[in-house]
Amino acid sequence: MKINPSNKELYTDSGTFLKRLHCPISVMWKDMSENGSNTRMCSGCEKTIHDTEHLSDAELEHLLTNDPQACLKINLNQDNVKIIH
Amino acid sequence: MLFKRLLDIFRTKPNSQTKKGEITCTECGLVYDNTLRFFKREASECPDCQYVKILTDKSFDEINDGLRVIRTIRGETAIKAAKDMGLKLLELRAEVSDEFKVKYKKLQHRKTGEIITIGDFREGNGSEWKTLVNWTSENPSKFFSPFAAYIIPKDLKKGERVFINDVITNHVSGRWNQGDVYRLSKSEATWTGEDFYIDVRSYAIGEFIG
Repeated sequence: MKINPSNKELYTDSGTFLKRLHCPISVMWKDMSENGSNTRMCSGCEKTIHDTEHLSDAELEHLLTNDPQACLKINLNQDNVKIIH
Repeated sequence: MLFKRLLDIFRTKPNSQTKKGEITCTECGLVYDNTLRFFKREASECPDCQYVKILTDKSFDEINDGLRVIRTIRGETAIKAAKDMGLKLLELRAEVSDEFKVKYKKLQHRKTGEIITIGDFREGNGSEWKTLVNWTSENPSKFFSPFAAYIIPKDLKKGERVFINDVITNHVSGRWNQGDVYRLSKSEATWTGEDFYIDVRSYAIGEFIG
């Protein structure tokens, strides 16, 4: 996947737009409680946040097709993320 | 009054190469074409340095995610004008730290001629792309003046959380393990009574959630 840090738009490696990340609540990943192998519960909105570190582009597309509002966590330094400007 | 002030600020420089119908912001030097359209659009600020924005009442009514927006003004002229208007200011020296850098490489497709800019070492290694500009690091933040100030609403209470859309001081919003260091340009902050405590975490870009 690719992300533009300035507008937080997320794309697949082939350039398909996935979503624009936006969260009005300032909650950090480390402050969330685990509720699955790669997911955590946000105390601010009680939604499940998916860690994308181990997700392929296909898995991510499948996740967002089923739930376009799915919340994601992406770290700038994870191996499967490329930065675009 | 406002129109007179606008003309004063955006007057055409007599000896410049500005064409008829163009106006120049005396604060940052931006040439703005088509004066008539500028005023018809009811814009009230230089699109580059936003100088005249301080002359409008809207500056104090803006809300972002439920927080009052603190307006930043830059340049000696803007600060002097704000003082003349009796506005309360927090003046700070604006100097971009050398710490911030963003790398890029420009490539051109050998067949289509398409030019792209990439920012990741892992991209653009295919033989169909030729390098136009090799990896270069630049500091993308530039201030046109070392003088800057926040306009402090007179009713701002100690402890009030606000949104600053143009942070003056230098804070790192994120670091990438390929060497890029990003500057925090906007942030939530808390008024301490004398200064703003910048909550870097509110707009940090090391980790994205959403």
